[in-house]
Amino acid sequence: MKNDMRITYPLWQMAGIFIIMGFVLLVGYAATVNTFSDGGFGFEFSISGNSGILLNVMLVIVVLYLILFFYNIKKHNERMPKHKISMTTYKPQEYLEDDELFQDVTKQATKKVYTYFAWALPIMAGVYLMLPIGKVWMTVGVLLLAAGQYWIYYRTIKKFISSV
Amino acid sequence: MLKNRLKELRARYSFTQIELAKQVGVTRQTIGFIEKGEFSPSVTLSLKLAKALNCDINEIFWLEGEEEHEE
Repeated sequence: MKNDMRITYPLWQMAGIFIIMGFVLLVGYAATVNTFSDGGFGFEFSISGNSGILLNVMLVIVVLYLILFFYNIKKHNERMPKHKISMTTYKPQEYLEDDELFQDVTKQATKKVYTYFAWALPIMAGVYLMLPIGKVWMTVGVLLLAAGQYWIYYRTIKKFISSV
Repeated sequence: MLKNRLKELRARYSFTQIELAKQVGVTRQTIGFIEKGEFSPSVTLSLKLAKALNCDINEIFWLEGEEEHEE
């Protein structure tokens, strides 16, 4: 189980979300949307010295992330041909359905995620309605919510794995 | 709660958890969790275990509180 990437997959997803979050913040602060009186709008993207460096750093992080991510998938698929991680399926890769115990654990973790969304989404909608939050931070909120689901899923599975 | 004596019966045949798991088509973890009483197997798996251990299903599993009745 130690080398099973299906277990750490939610962490990879979270890392991906945080990278996207970095871009959202960077673009959010570097971009300006101008609306014109004739109804059109323009999108202006200005990068100063510091944000230019940040953008380059982030691009390097993206490349490194993708290399590591696909390398680990390749290694996992070689090690576990029966439980390959495939990018061509709708089913989340982190589902463990090797047998009925694993199906049960997956069910428990999924149940926790569902409960989390059942509460988090209406609370978030309420906060967005009540407070004057900008688009950038709204998007960051959505991304944090998505990262939260992976964290809950990962913790549940990890708890089970460490007790095995 | 479902109680069991899977570990005891497994020892009768000197099966390791992995060997028994292979026989019934599950993972070693599943056998371990059943033995610890932390996972209740389905009827199908219970029947497979009974067959692999060559015994009656009631010899492996019983409900808590019915121990005295069984013994």
